[in-house]
Parts: sequence; C-alpha cells; structure tokens
Amino acid sequence: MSCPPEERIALYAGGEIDRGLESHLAACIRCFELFRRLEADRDLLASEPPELGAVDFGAMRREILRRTRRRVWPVVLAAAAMVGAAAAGWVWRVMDREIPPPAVVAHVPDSGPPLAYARGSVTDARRKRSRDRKGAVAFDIPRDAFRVPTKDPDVVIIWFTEKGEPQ
Amino acid sequence: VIDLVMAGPHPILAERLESADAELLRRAQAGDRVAFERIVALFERRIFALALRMSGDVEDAKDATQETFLRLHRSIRQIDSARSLGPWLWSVTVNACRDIGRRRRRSRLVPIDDLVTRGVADPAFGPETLARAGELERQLQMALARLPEKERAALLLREMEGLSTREVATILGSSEGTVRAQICTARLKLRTLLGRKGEER
Repeated sequence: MSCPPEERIALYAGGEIDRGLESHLAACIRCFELFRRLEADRDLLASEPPELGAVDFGAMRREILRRTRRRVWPVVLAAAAMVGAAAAGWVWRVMDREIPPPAVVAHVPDSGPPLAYARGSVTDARRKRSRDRKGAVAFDIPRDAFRVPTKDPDVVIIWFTEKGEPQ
Repeated sequence: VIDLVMAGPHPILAERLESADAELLRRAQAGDRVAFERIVALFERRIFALALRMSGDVEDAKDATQETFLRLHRSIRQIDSARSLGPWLWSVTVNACRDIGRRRRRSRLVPIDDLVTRGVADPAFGPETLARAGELERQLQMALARLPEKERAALLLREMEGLSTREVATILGSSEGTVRAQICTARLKLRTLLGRKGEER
C-alpha cells in the first residue's frame, strides 16, 4: 500500500474534505497514527495556556484604561501656550511699530535775522556760557555760528555754517 | 457574554458574539469608556494567549496585549463597525508581537529561539511561571518558537481563533494559497518538534 504525502494528512487533519484519504486512514495504521497526533496537536493549540491563570488581567486592564484616559492638563497647557503666544505676538507687533517723531518743542521762524553773531568755536561757546540779564543761559556764539530765536527761552538753537553769515 | 468568551471561541456563539462586538464597538467609537472597557475585558485573555504563543514570553505577551488595546484606542474611529472586531485585533496583536520581538532582539542580542529553548534556566521563565505552566504547554511554546514567524502566526490564528484561510491571509497580507501551505507545513513541523512528547500523549 502506497501512503499519501504527509501534507495531505495534515490538510485533512485541519478539516479539509478528502474522501480518498479517509478510506486510506481506515486501512493504514501508520498514517492514522500521524492523523491522530496532528489532531491532538490541534487540541493542544486550541486549549488555553496555563499561564493565563497567573496573569492579573484586572491590573492590566486598569493600566490600559489609565493610559487611554483623556488627559485634561495637556489640553489646558496647550491652550494656555496658544494664548500666551498670541499675546506675545501682539506685544511684539506693538513694540515693533515705528515710533512717531516727538512733538515740536521749538518754533523756528521762517525768516528774521539771527540774534547774535560772534567769533570763536563751539568749544569756546561751551566754556564761556553766562547768564543774560533775564537769567536765561546765554552763549558766546562762535564765529560761523548763529543763534536762532525760539519762543521757548529754554530752547536754544545754534546754526553752524561754514561760509559765514547766513543769507 | 464575557464569561463565555473567556472560555474561548465557540462556533455556536460566534454570531451572537459578533453582534455584541459590533454594538460595543459602535458605543466605544462614540466615546463610551464603559464600552471600551468591556471590549478589553472581552478580548484580553484571547489576545494574551495568542501573544504568549507568538512570543513565548509572559512579559512580552503582556506588553503586546497592552499595545494592542492602546492601538485599538488610537484607531477605534477608523475601524469599520460593520465588521467583526476580532480579525482587526488579531492582526494588531501579531504585529505587536513582531515589533516587541525585534526590539528585544536588538536590545538583548538573544534570539527568541535560544531564549525559549533554555527553558528552566532562563529568568524570563521564572520558577512560578514554570510551576504553573504545564509541561505540554512548555514543550508547545518551545516548538512554536522554532517555526518561522509567518508559519507560526498562520497556525495560531487558525487553531486558536478558528479563522478561515481567507481571514488568516487577509491578516497576514498573504495569498490564500500561501497561507494554506504555511499552515500545513507548520502542522507537520510542530509534530516533528513535539516528537516524543506527542507520542506519549
């Protein structure tokens, strides 16, 4: 009697229908023994591993639930970070604006002669400052420099020129 | 329902359980935490058992089980609730076992086969675990560890979960013909590896 390949017996043991093999297994002890052991292996695989009795599934489940819980703090922190970033951006934009020029503190008339004309240098003028009769600070105006009148006595404008008296 | 599932899959209950799965899945997708917990309770033992025989290591099986449910939580809204949840979970479990196995091999530089074969002497198989594990189960896990990963996965999905060749093929990303051959080969290899122990049964 020629025996079929073991693969055929393995497929039959797995549930595949094979009428020809059935009659052979009924007659061949060796092939039937292989079939019986393959079935026993399937039973073993279908059984629960004994290790399951030693596993604390409750603890494992709690850990899974803990790790899948929605975390509130990260959301709150993320929202706070977004608000902070927006505020920082606003402040940055405000600070980055062009600073407007300061208000006019002195008015220089369009025309009119300079009030003083004197020889000397700027350095000399700094050294020789004195007070005039009204108590305001007066300078010995150096040569090539002209004092321009202003409405504010505390504001002094000196016009320096290289070519002498302004036209 | 949970108690019935704990005892393992049963063809008579399959249809009823599938509809229960689908309802739980829909509720969990809507954000129902209780439904998600029920899903974990329904599948945790089967996933752990599959992971244990895939990895041959209790701690790796625990990690794979947790990882499977974490992935389920992350992707739950993408799962088609019209389909059974089982195949999705088995697929993720097999992948999680593969990822954990790779990480362990990189970190410990110890092949899984060696780890399992060392058996009693290995701290991964502590005395308590070994005391509880039956001798047959230990032999089975040692033999399974020697099978190529795809053959092992195909055999376990078929025999432990009762999946069809088509379902196993879908999970493993192989053709039905390949899976049929892999399962057949794995059965015969396992028989050879179990050897004399099998003869004594």
